[in-house]
Amino acid sequence: MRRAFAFLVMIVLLLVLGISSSDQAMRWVSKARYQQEGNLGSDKYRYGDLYGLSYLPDFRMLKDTSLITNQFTSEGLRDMDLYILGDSYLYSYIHMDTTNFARSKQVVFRKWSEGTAGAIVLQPTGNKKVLLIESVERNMGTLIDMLRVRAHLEGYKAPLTWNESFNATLADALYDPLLEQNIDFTLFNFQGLSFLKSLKAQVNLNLFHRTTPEVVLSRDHQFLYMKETMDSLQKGSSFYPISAEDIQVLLARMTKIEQYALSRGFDEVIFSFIPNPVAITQTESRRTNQLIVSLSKANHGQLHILDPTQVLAKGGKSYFFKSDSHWNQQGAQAWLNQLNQYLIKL
Amino acid sequence: MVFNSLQFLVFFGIVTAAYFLLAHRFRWMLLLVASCYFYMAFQPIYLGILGFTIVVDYYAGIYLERFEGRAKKLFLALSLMANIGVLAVFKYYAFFTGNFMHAASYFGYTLQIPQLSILLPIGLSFHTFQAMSYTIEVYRGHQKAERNFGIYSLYVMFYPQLVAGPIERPQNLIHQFYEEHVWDVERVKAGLFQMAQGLFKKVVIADRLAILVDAVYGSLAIQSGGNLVLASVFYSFQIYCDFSGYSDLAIGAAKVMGFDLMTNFRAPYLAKSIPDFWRRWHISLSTWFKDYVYFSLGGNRVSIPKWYFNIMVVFIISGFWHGASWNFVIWGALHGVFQLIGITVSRRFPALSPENARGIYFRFLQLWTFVLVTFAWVFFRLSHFADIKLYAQRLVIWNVDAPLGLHVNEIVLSLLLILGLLFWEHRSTNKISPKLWLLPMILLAIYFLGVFSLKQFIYFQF
Repeated sequence: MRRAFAFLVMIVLLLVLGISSSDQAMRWVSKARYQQEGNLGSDKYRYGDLYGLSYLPDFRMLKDTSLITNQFTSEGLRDMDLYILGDSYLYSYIHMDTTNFARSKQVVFRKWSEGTAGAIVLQPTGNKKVLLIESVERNMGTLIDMLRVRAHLEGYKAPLTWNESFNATLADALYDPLLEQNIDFTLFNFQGLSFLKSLKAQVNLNLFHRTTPEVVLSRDHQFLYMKETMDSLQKGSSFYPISAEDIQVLLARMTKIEQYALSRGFDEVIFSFIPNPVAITQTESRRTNQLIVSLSKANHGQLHILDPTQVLAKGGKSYFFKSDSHWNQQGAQAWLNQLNQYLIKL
Repeated sequence: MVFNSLQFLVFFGIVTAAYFLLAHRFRWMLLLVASCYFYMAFQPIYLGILGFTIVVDYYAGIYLERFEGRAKKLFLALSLMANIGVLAVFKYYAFFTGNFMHAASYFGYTLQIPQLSILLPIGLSFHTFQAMSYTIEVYRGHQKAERNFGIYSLYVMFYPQLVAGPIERPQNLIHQFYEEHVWDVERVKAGLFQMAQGLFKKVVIADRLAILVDAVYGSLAIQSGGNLVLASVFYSFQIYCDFSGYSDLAIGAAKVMGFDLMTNFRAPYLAKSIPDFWRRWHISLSTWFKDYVYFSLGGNRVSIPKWYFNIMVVFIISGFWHGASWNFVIWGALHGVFQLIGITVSRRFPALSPENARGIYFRFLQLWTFVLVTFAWVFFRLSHFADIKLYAQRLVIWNVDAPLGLHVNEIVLSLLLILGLLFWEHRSTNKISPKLWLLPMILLAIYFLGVFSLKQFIYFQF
């Protein structure tokens, strides 16, 4: 009996480890669990990614996951191949096809996270080839980097020392870097356990005025933000102090990236940076660093920079989810309209 | 793979279940493979360093047994040099070369010694000392050389105590790998209880206190004396709960499988003197230094100046063991000085000796010892002289309102947890055994009050 119990424990845990270590298995399990209603389903993202981290009951608001479609269906001039290097601010809200983008004859979208997917192949058409590089403010410092862009445009991989290579090969074979969160998902992310998580979140908020480490509550308690965007010690924060020199460094990096992309066969390169939600909602008493606005001003029209700050500011809080780190469909729509105007004039 | 992670929970469950399912003769192999996997979770390449010291010490043990006289001494010296050499390269190279260049520049010379861009292998000082313990004990004839290479490797690599101790002695551990451990419900319960206790200390107390400590020590320039005192007291308990929490997890995990590891802490903040503190704090290391360094220097069976010298040497080396930085040396030296002052006072005024203390005087000595230890921890926590100077300057400024990083309710909770810990340890030292009904309560408290930030254990860096 005891041996049977030990055997059962071992098999179950080996299964958990196996599933949590495999990207494919995790994709399958996640899909099944997200689709499932009831106690065995998962509500990690159903109510917003920040709710899924904090489980604060006041932010349990069903998230609209519909995609924006058919924004630019006119048969007008279609003379552009649009290549987009972007993040979840785009692909989670906008259908990436020609019906949404002005002048586009073809739309090719590549996620930043697919850095090992190989080179983006330019189609041999006579159309104007435009590269749109998009990133949310908090990731700009990391993503606006030549090596990362090269990884996507030519499949470049930075050479590793033998030590790094050995470590990386062995670590890849043995451990999934997401193992911890995958095990958490596999073992504990059930709707049936949400009440416990909510209770814990409430106890910590009411007693200690604290949420989960990754999430910060806005001053007016209306929004959840990623801590990374609020902590003035972190570079992705809207409160991280920036100097004129930092702006020049960033512009220099962008100029190099533009030159590189032009040399790879693109005709135009557009950069668009989405402000962190707190930079638009302005719920805090502190002043934000206005990174994107400063960047646009210092650019003096040399690079194509699409700054949506003003457009988003018009909608303010109404353009962002309260329990998610992203904008909502209205915010995405406002940006898309601005982009299409820009593309028409390009 | 830290002990306060879900990865470890799964790993531990699989290894323990497999351990009891396997026939006895295969168990050491399972533990060895599991230990390699555990260590490689931190940095796979450093398994090579462990492999090097294992091979050297394995053969050194065999040759130490085979030879006598000068040859025997030579093999011991070779083994110690190999182990200390590894420490010197990976832990102390940057310190020595940096100080050498600094000293040269002081005398007007400019030296450029190439630096190694290497990360300190995790737990290096722990497993190196454990390996040295083996060759020294074989040399002294207290331990037979281990012929099974796998078992010897497991002695150095046994995963519960691989990265932060307790630093075992071969006489205590090696024979246990040969013994067949059966599933003992009481033992498993006791092991799980100790693990839960360790996890509580780590995620409920240490990682909570760390929030305030990091906030205050990270902004010394704007802090007040009151905040610094509070942060220093909290740091004393943070480091204790962090390290003893790790030890509880290690000892408990080993106990579940039937292994007895040595006790590493015995209510150190209830100590009545600095020597008493060191009999209760990181016992596996303090006894290591006592057995292999202090006694080798002659211990207290020498003239008084030589005795004092021996004490200072041991404490300075102990400080240096913790880290390649002057602040650790100062920390160790401070403990040495406190001990010398204590010895001197006790010799001149026997009535004041801690050994004779009773009642209020006894409590006063406990408090005084805690104050001294806490003062020394400041040097342990601050690695730059500029920070130590700033700390001293801000200590006398009391009328500023600086951020503490924790809400007042949480500070109160932290203080209650500290008091609860002291009370619990006081009861435990009076031999009152823990009740099983506490186990689910501890687990619930860990869930609701734990700070789950996957914060690394402080002593892993050593």
